[in-house]
Amino acid sequence: MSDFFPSAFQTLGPFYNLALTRDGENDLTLGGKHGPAITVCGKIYDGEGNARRDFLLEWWQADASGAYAASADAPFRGFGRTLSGPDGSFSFSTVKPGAVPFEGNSWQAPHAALAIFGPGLMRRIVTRVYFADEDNSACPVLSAVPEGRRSLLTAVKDGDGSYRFDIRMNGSDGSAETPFFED
Amino acid sequence: MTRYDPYDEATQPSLHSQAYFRTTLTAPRDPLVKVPRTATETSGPVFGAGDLSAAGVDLSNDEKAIGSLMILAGQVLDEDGRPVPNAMIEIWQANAAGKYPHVVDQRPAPQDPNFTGAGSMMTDAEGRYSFKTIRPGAYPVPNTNNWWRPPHIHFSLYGHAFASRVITQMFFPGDPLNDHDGILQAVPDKAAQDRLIGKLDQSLGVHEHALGLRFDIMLRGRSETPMVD
Repeated sequence: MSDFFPSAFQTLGPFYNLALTRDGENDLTLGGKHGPAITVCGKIYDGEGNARRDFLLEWWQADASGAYAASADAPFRGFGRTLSGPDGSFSFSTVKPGAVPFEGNSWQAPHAALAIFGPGLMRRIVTRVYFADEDNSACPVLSAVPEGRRSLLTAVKDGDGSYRFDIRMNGSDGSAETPFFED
Repeated sequence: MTRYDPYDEATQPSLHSQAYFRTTLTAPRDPLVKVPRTATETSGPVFGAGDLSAAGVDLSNDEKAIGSLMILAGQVLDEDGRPVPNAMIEIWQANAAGKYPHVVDQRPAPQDPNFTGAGSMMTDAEGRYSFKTIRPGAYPVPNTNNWWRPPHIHFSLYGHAFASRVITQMFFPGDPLNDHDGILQAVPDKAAQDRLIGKLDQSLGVHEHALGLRFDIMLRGRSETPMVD
Protein backbone atom coordinates (compact mmCIF):
# COMPACT_ATOMS: atom_id res chain seq x y z
CA MET A 1 0.00 0.00 0.00
CA SER A 2 1.41 3.32 -1.03
CA ASP A 3 1.90 6.11 1.50
CA PHE A 4 1.27 8.60 -1.25
CA PHE A 5 -2.20 9.59 -2.33
CA PRO A 6 -3.01 12.02 -5.10
CA SER A 7 -3.77 15.48 -3.73
CA ALA A 8 -7.47 16.37 -3.61
CA PHE A 9 -8.95 18.59 -6.27
CA GLN A 10 -10.30 21.93 -5.12
CA THR A 11 -12.41 24.34 -7.13
CA LEU A 12 -10.48 26.96 -9.08
CA GLY A 13 -12.86 29.73 -7.97
CA PRO A 14 -13.64 32.86 -9.94
CA PHE A 15 -10.21 34.49 -9.98
CA TYR A 16 -8.03 31.94 -11.74
CA ASN A 17 -7.41 33.97 -14.86
CA LEU A 18 -4.94 35.96 -12.81
CA ALA A 19 -2.62 33.04 -13.39
CA LEU A 20 -4.11 30.70 -16.00
CA THR A 21 -5.02 31.42 -19.62
CA ARG A 22 -3.28 33.93 -21.82
CA ASP A 23 -4.17 35.23 -25.26
CA GLY A 24 -3.62 32.72 -28.02
CA GLU A 25 -3.69 29.60 -25.87
CA ASN A 26 -6.79 28.39 -27.72
CA ASP A 27 -4.89 28.36 -31.03
CA LEU A 28 -3.01 25.07 -31.42
CA THR A 29 -1.76 26.05 -34.87
CA LEU A 30 0.60 28.84 -33.76
CA GLY A 31 3.54 26.54 -34.47
CA GLY A 32 2.23 25.96 -38.01
CA LYS A 33 -0.66 24.10 -39.59
CA HIS A 34 0.53 20.51 -39.55
CA GLY A 35 -2.66 19.03 -41.00
CA PRO A 36 -6.15 20.06 -42.03
CA ALA A 37 -7.01 23.22 -40.06
CA ILE A 38 -10.34 23.25 -38.22
CA THR A 39 -12.12 25.40 -35.68
CA VAL A 40 -14.37 24.01 -32.96
CA CYS A 41 -16.82 26.48 -31.40
CA GLY A 42 -19.44 26.06 -28.72
CA LYS A 43 -21.14 27.37 -25.65
CA ILE A 44 -21.27 26.03 -22.14
CA TYR A 45 -24.57 25.92 -20.22
CA ASP A 46 -25.61 25.06 -16.68
CA GLY A 47 -28.67 23.21 -15.38
CA GLU A 48 -30.92 26.23 -15.74
CA GLY A 49 -29.95 26.70 -19.36
CA ASN A 50 -27.82 29.73 -18.53
CA ALA A 51 -24.68 30.27 -20.56
CA ARG A 52 -21.75 30.27 -18.13
CA ARG A 53 -18.75 32.55 -18.35
CA ASP A 54 -15.30 32.01 -16.86
CA PHE A 55 -15.14 28.25 -17.17
CA LEU A 56 -11.69 26.89 -17.97
CA LEU A 57 -11.61 24.46 -20.89
CA GLU A 58 -8.52 22.39 -21.68
CA TRP A 59 -8.04 20.55 -24.95
CA TRP A 60 -5.60 17.68 -25.59
CA GLN A 61 -5.32 15.85 -28.89
CA ALA A 62 -3.09 13.81 -31.15
CA ASP A 63 -1.59 15.27 -34.31
CA ALA A 64 -2.95 14.58 -37.79
CA SER A 65 -1.14 11.21 -37.84
CA GLY A 66 -2.65 10.12 -34.51
CA ALA A 67 0.53 10.62 -32.43
CA TYR A 68 0.73 12.62 -29.20
CA ALA A 69 3.44 15.25 -28.84
CA ALA A 70 6.20 14.04 -26.52
CA SER A 71 8.30 17.19 -26.26
CA ALA A 72 7.91 20.94 -25.91
CA ASP A 73 9.70 21.23 -29.25
CA ALA A 74 7.18 19.12 -31.18
CA PRO A 75 5.88 20.97 -34.27
CA PHE A 76 2.31 20.28 -33.18
CA ARG A 77 1.97 20.27 -29.40
CA GLY A 78 -1.69 19.27 -29.14
CA PHE A 79 -2.66 21.31 -26.09
CA GLY A 80 -4.86 24.38 -25.75
CA ARG A 81 -6.80 26.13 -23.04
CA THR A 82 -9.28 28.98 -22.91
CA LEU A 83 -11.99 30.43 -20.77
CA SER A 84 -15.61 30.83 -21.75
CA GLY A 85 -16.66 34.36 -22.61
CA PRO A 86 -19.53 36.47 -21.20
CA ASP A 87 -22.01 34.60 -23.45
CA GLY A 88 -20.58 31.18 -22.52
CA SER A 89 -18.80 30.81 -25.86
CA PHE A 90 -15.42 29.25 -26.51
CA SER A 91 -13.42 28.14 -29.52
CA PHE A 92 -10.30 26.18 -30.39
CA SER A 93 -8.34 26.51 -33.63
CA THR A 94 -6.45 23.34 -34.38
CA VAL A 95 -5.87 20.58 -36.92
CA LYS A 96 -8.05 17.54 -37.28
CA PRO A 97 -6.56 14.76 -35.13
CA GLY A 98 -5.84 11.37 -36.65
CA ALA A 99 -7.16 8.05 -35.36
CA VAL A 100 -5.26 6.93 -32.25
CA PRO A 101 -4.08 3.35 -31.67
CA PHE A 102 -5.86 1.30 -29.01
CA GLU A 103 -5.19 -2.26 -27.83
CA GLY A 104 -4.25 -4.86 -30.42
CA ASN A 105 -5.15 -3.77 -33.91
CA SER A 106 -8.04 -1.53 -32.88
CA TRP A 107 -8.24 2.23 -33.18
CA GLN A 108 -9.92 5.12 -31.45
CA ALA A 109 -11.79 7.44 -33.76
CA PRO A 110 -10.27 10.94 -34.12
CA HIS A 111 -11.04 12.91 -30.98
CA ALA A 112 -9.84 15.48 -28.48
CA ALA A 113 -9.93 15.07 -24.71
CA LEU A 114 -11.66 17.96 -22.99
CA ALA A 115 -11.25 18.90 -19.32
CA ILE A 116 -13.59 21.43 -17.73
CA PHE A 117 -12.99 23.41 -14.54
CA GLY A 118 -15.19 26.15 -13.19
CA PRO A 119 -16.72 28.04 -10.31
CA GLY A 120 -19.19 25.63 -8.73
CA LEU A 121 -17.24 22.57 -9.88
CA MET A 122 -15.41 20.85 -7.04
CA ARG A 123 -13.08 18.97 -9.37
CA ARG A 124 -12.38 18.65 -13.05
CA ILE A 125 -14.92 17.15 -15.42
CA VAL A 126 -13.68 15.22 -18.45
CA THR A 127 -15.22 14.23 -21.75
CA ARG A 128 -14.26 13.97 -25.42
CA VAL A 129 -15.01 15.76 -28.66
CA TYR A 130 -15.57 13.50 -31.69
CA PHE A 131 -16.38 14.56 -35.25
CA ALA A 132 -19.66 13.76 -36.98
CA ASP A 133 -17.98 13.38 -40.38
CA GLU A 134 -15.72 10.53 -39.19
CA ASP A 135 -16.55 6.85 -38.80
CA ASN A 136 -16.97 6.66 -35.02
CA SER A 137 -18.74 3.31 -34.97
CA ALA A 138 -15.81 1.16 -33.78
CA CYS A 139 -14.27 3.53 -31.24
CA PRO A 140 -13.80 1.56 -27.97
CA VAL A 141 -14.23 4.68 -25.85
CA LEU A 142 -17.24 6.22 -27.58
CA SER A 143 -18.82 2.75 -27.60
CA ALA A 144 -18.84 2.84 -23.77
CA VAL A 145 -21.30 5.75 -23.94
CA PRO A 146 -24.97 4.68 -24.17
CA GLU A 147 -25.88 4.62 -27.86
CA GLY A 148 -28.58 7.24 -27.62
CA ARG A 149 -26.17 9.76 -26.09
CA ARG A 150 -23.17 9.32 -28.41
CA SER A 151 -24.27 12.06 -30.78
CA LEU A 152 -23.92 14.52 -27.89
CA LEU A 153 -20.15 13.98 -28.13
CA THR A 154 -19.82 14.56 -31.87
CA ALA A 155 -19.06 18.02 -33.18
CA VAL A 156 -21.12 18.86 -36.24
CA LYS A 157 -20.04 21.10 -39.12
CA ASP A 158 -21.82 24.43 -38.98
CA GLY A 159 -22.84 26.63 -41.92
CA ASP A 160 -19.57 28.57 -41.78
CA GLY A 161 -17.40 25.44 -41.93
CA SER A 162 -16.46 25.32 -38.25
CA TYR A 163 -17.47 22.49 -35.95
CA ARG A 164 -20.06 23.12 -33.27
CA PHE A 165 -19.78 21.46 -29.84
CA ASP A 166 -22.03 22.76 -27.07
CA ILE A 167 -21.60 21.57 -23.49
CA ARG A 168 -24.54 21.08 -21.14
CA MET A 169 -23.05 20.57 -17.71
CA ASN A 170 -26.29 19.52 -16.07
CA GLY A 171 -29.65 18.40 -17.41
CA SER A 172 -31.86 19.73 -14.60
CA ASP A 173 -33.71 21.95 -17.08
CA GLY A 174 -34.74 18.93 -19.15
CA SER A 175 -32.06 19.34 -21.78
CA ALA A 176 -29.80 16.43 -22.71
CA GLU A 177 -26.76 16.53 -20.45
CA THR A 178 -23.38 16.08 -22.14
CA PRO A 179 -21.98 12.62 -21.31
CA PHE A 180 -19.01 12.99 -18.96
CA PHE A 181 -16.46 10.32 -18.09
CA GLU A 182 -15.15 8.91 -14.83
CA ASP A 183 -11.85 10.67 -14.30
CA MET B 1 4.86 2.16 -17.78
CA THR B 2 2.80 4.31 -15.51
CA ARG B 3 -0.75 3.52 -14.60
CA TYR B 4 -3.43 5.97 -13.53
CA ASP B 5 -6.00 4.31 -11.29
CA PRO B 6 -9.35 5.88 -10.48
CA TYR B 7 -9.20 8.22 -7.50
CA ASP B 8 -10.19 6.92 -4.09
CA GLU B 9 -13.47 8.82 -3.79
CA ALA B 10 -12.97 9.44 -0.05
CA THR B 11 -9.88 11.48 -0.88
CA GLN B 12 -11.60 13.74 -3.41
CA PRO B 13 -14.37 16.30 -2.93
CA SER B 14 -17.85 15.19 -3.83
CA LEU B 15 -19.08 16.72 -7.07
CA HIS B 16 -22.36 17.46 -5.33
CA SER B 17 -21.15 18.82 -2.03
CA GLN B 18 -24.00 20.72 -0.46
CA ALA B 19 -21.50 22.95 1.28
CA TYR B 20 -20.58 24.73 -1.90
CA PHE B 21 -23.26 26.78 -3.59
CA ARG B 22 -23.96 26.54 -7.34
CA THR B 23 -22.76 22.94 -7.61
CA THR B 24 -26.24 21.46 -7.97
CA LEU B 25 -26.80 23.26 -11.26
CA THR B 26 -23.24 22.98 -12.50
CA ALA B 27 -21.96 19.50 -11.76
CA PRO B 28 -23.21 16.64 -13.95
CA ARG B 29 -26.37 14.93 -12.74
CA ASP B 30 -26.18 11.82 -14.92
CA PRO B 31 -23.81 9.02 -13.82
CA LEU B 32 -20.28 9.44 -15.17
CA VAL B 33 -19.48 6.99 -17.97
CA LYS B 34 -16.75 4.46 -17.23
CA VAL B 35 -14.33 4.36 -20.16
CA PRO B 36 -11.03 2.55 -20.73
CA ARG B 37 -7.72 4.35 -20.16
CA THR B 38 -6.00 4.95 -23.46
CA ALA B 39 -2.99 6.73 -24.91
CA THR B 40 -5.05 9.92 -24.77
CA GLU B 41 -5.10 9.94 -20.97
CA THR B 42 -1.65 8.46 -20.31
CA SER B 43 0.02 11.08 -22.51
CA GLY B 44 -0.13 14.78 -21.78
CA PRO B 45 1.14 18.18 -22.80
CA VAL B 46 4.86 18.81 -22.32
CA PHE B 47 5.75 22.30 -21.20
CA GLY B 48 9.00 24.21 -21.13
CA ALA B 49 10.24 27.44 -19.60
CA GLY B 50 9.01 29.25 -22.71
CA ASP B 51 5.44 28.41 -21.75
CA LEU B 52 5.57 30.15 -18.37
CA SER B 53 3.80 33.44 -17.83
CA ALA B 54 5.85 36.48 -16.85
CA ALA B 55 4.61 36.11 -13.28
CA GLY B 56 7.78 34.39 -12.06
CA VAL B 57 8.57 33.05 -8.60
CA ASP B 58 8.57 36.30 -6.59
CA LEU B 59 4.99 37.36 -5.84
CA SER B 60 6.25 39.86 -3.25
CA ASN B 61 7.63 42.24 -5.89
CA ASP B 62 11.06 42.46 -4.28
CA GLU B 63 9.43 42.32 -0.84
CA LYS B 64 7.49 45.54 -1.38
CA ALA B 65 4.11 43.76 -1.09
CA ILE B 66 2.40 44.22 2.27
CA GLY B 67 2.02 41.14 4.43
CA SER B 68 3.87 38.40 6.24
CA LEU B 69 6.71 37.36 3.94
CA MET B 70 7.20 33.66 3.39
CA ILE B 71 9.05 31.14 1.30
CA LEU B 72 6.53 28.61 0.03
CA ALA B 73 8.28 25.52 -1.25
CA GLY B 74 7.79 21.81 -1.68
CA GLN B 75 8.10 18.80 -3.87
CA VAL B 76 5.83 17.30 -6.48
CA LEU B 77 5.65 13.52 -6.20
CA ASP B 78 3.78 10.66 -7.81
CA GLU B 79 1.94 7.87 -6.01
CA ASP B 80 5.19 5.93 -5.61
CA GLY B 81 6.81 8.94 -3.97
CA ARG B 82 9.00 9.56 -6.99
CA PRO B 83 9.73 13.22 -7.83
CA VAL B 84 7.93 14.68 -10.84
CA PRO B 85 10.40 16.92 -12.67
CA ASN B 86 9.41 19.48 -15.31
CA ALA B 87 5.86 19.90 -13.98
CA MET B 88 4.36 23.31 -14.70
CA ILE B 89 3.04 24.96 -11.52
CA GLU B 90 0.87 28.07 -11.61
CA ILE B 91 -0.36 29.69 -8.39
CA TRP B 92 -2.69 32.57 -7.53
CA GLN B 93 -3.88 34.12 -4.29
CA ALA B 94 -5.47 37.10 -2.57
CA ASN B 95 -3.40 39.90 -1.00
CA ALA B 96 -2.85 40.36 2.73
CA ALA B 97 -6.27 42.03 3.02
CA GLY B 98 -8.03 39.08 1.37
CA LYS B 99 -8.57 41.01 -1.87
CA TYR B 100 -7.84 39.60 -5.31
CA PRO B 101 -6.37 41.94 -7.89
CA HIS B 102 -9.27 41.00 -10.16
CA VAL B 103 -12.18 43.00 -11.55
CA VAL B 104 -14.66 40.37 -10.32
CA ASP B 105 -13.64 40.97 -6.69
CA GLN B 106 -15.87 43.93 -5.77
CA ARG B 107 -15.41 43.75 -2.00
CA PRO B 108 -14.33 47.10 -0.51
CA ALA B 109 -10.91 45.97 0.71
CA PRO B 110 -7.65 47.64 -0.30
CA GLN B 111 -5.61 46.62 -3.30
CA ASP B 112 -1.85 46.43 -2.94
CA PRO B 113 -0.14 48.03 -5.94
CA ASN B 114 2.89 45.82 -5.26
CA PHE B 115 0.97 42.59 -5.38
CA THR B 116 -0.25 40.91 -8.55
CA GLY B 117 -1.12 37.60 -6.89
CA ALA B 118 0.22 35.19 -9.52
CA GLY B 119 3.32 33.03 -9.92
CA SER B 120 4.57 30.24 -12.16
CA MET B 121 7.54 27.93 -12.52
CA MET B 122 8.64 24.46 -13.61
CA THR B 123 9.70 21.89 -11.02
CA ASP B 124 13.40 21.03 -11.06
CA ALA B 125 15.00 17.60 -11.55
CA GLU B 126 13.97 16.61 -7.99
CA GLY B 127 10.40 17.81 -8.49
CA ARG B 128 11.03 20.83 -6.25
CA TYR B 129 9.54 24.30 -6.49
CA SER B 130 9.85 27.50 -4.46
CA PHE B 131 7.99 30.81 -4.45
CA LYS B 132 8.43 33.96 -2.39
CA THR B 133 5.10 35.47 -1.41
CA ILE B 134 3.03 36.87 1.45
CA ARG B 135 0.36 35.22 3.55
CA PRO B 136 -3.05 35.96 1.99
CA GLY B 137 -5.92 37.26 4.08
CA ALA B 138 -9.26 35.59 4.72
CA TYR B 139 -12.31 36.98 2.95
CA PRO B 140 -16.09 36.60 3.18
CA VAL B 141 -17.97 34.71 0.46
CA PRO B 142 -20.83 36.90 -0.83
CA ASN B 143 -24.44 35.82 -0.30
CA THR B 144 -23.67 33.23 2.38
CA ASN B 145 -24.30 32.98 6.10
CA ASN B 146 -21.03 34.79 6.87
CA TRP B 147 -18.83 32.06 5.40
CA TRP B 148 -15.22 33.25 5.31
CA ARG B 149 -12.70 31.53 3.11
CA PRO B 150 -9.61 30.69 5.17
CA PRO B 151 -6.31 32.00 3.83
CA HIS B 152 -5.40 29.77 0.89
CA ILE B 153 -3.27 29.66 -2.24
CA HIS B 154 -4.54 28.11 -5.48
CA PHE B 155 -2.23 25.61 -7.22
CA SER B 156 -2.54 24.39 -10.82
CA LEU B 157 -0.26 21.55 -11.91
CA TYR B 158 0.39 19.68 -15.11
CA GLY B 159 2.22 16.40 -14.53
CA HIS B 160 3.24 14.11 -17.35
CA ALA B 161 -0.22 12.89 -18.37
CA PHE B 162 -3.69 14.22 -19.03
CA ALA B 163 -4.69 11.90 -16.16
CA SER B 164 -2.32 13.54 -13.66
CA ARG B 165 -3.56 17.12 -14.11
CA VAL B 166 -4.80 18.71 -10.89
CA ILE B 167 -5.99 22.06 -9.57
CA THR B 168 -6.03 22.33 -5.80
CA GLN B 169 -5.63 24.76 -2.91
CA MET B 170 -3.14 25.00 -0.06
CA PHE B 171 -4.37 26.04 3.38
CA PHE B 172 -2.43 27.34 6.39
CA PRO B 173 -1.73 25.25 9.48
CA GLY B 174 -3.78 26.03 12.56
CA ASP B 175 -6.18 28.49 10.97
CA PRO B 176 -9.57 28.20 12.77
CA LEU B 177 -11.44 28.93 9.54
CA ASN B 178 -10.17 25.67 8.00
CA ASP B 179 -12.72 23.63 9.95
CA HIS B 180 -15.59 25.76 8.63
CA ASP B 181 -14.60 26.01 4.99
CA GLY B 182 -17.15 24.39 2.69
CA ILE B 183 -14.52 23.78 0.04
CA LEU B 184 -11.83 22.12 2.19
CA GLN B 185 -14.50 20.23 4.14
CA ALA B 186 -15.99 18.85 0.92
CA VAL B 187 -13.11 16.34 0.97
CA PRO B 188 -14.57 13.45 3.04
CA ASP B 189 -11.32 11.90 4.29
CA LYS B 190 -9.69 13.88 7.12
CA ALA B 191 -6.18 12.75 6.18
CA ALA B 192 -6.78 13.93 2.62
CA GLN B 193 -7.86 17.32 4.00
CA ASP B 194 -4.72 17.49 6.12
CA ARG B 195 -2.58 16.90 3.03
CA LEU B 196 -3.92 20.20 1.66
CA ILE B 197 -2.57 22.08 4.68
CA GLY B 198 0.96 23.45 4.41
CA LYS B 199 3.47 22.76 7.18
CA LEU B 200 5.60 25.30 8.98
CA ASP B 201 9.22 24.52 8.03
CA GLN B 202 11.69 27.14 9.17
CA SER B 203 14.51 25.41 7.34
CA LEU B 204 12.91 26.80 4.16
CA GLY B 205 12.59 30.34 5.56
CA VAL B 206 15.13 33.12 5.96
CA HIS B 207 16.35 33.87 9.49
CA GLU B 208 14.59 36.90 11.01
CA HIS B 209 13.18 37.71 7.59
CA ALA B 210 10.75 35.22 6.01
CA LEU B 211 8.69 32.29 7.29
CA GLY B 212 9.11 28.90 5.66
CA LEU B 213 6.10 26.89 4.61
CA ARG B 214 6.29 23.47 3.01
CA PHE B 215 3.58 22.08 0.74
CA ASP B 216 4.11 18.83 -1.14
CA ILE B 217 1.74 17.85 -3.92
CA MET B 218 1.02 14.31 -5.02
CA LEU B 219 0.00 13.63 -8.61
CA ARG B 220 -1.81 10.56 -9.84
CA GLY B 221 0.37 7.93 -11.45
CA ARG B 222 2.28 4.89 -10.20
CA SER B 223 4.55 2.30 -11.66
CA GLU B 224 2.97 -0.79 -13.21
CA THR B 225 5.46 -2.89 -11.26
CA PRO B 226 5.38 -2.41 -7.47
CA MET B 227 8.40 -0.70 -5.94
CA VAL B 228 10.60 -2.93 -3.81
CA ASP B 229 11.89 -1.31 -0.62
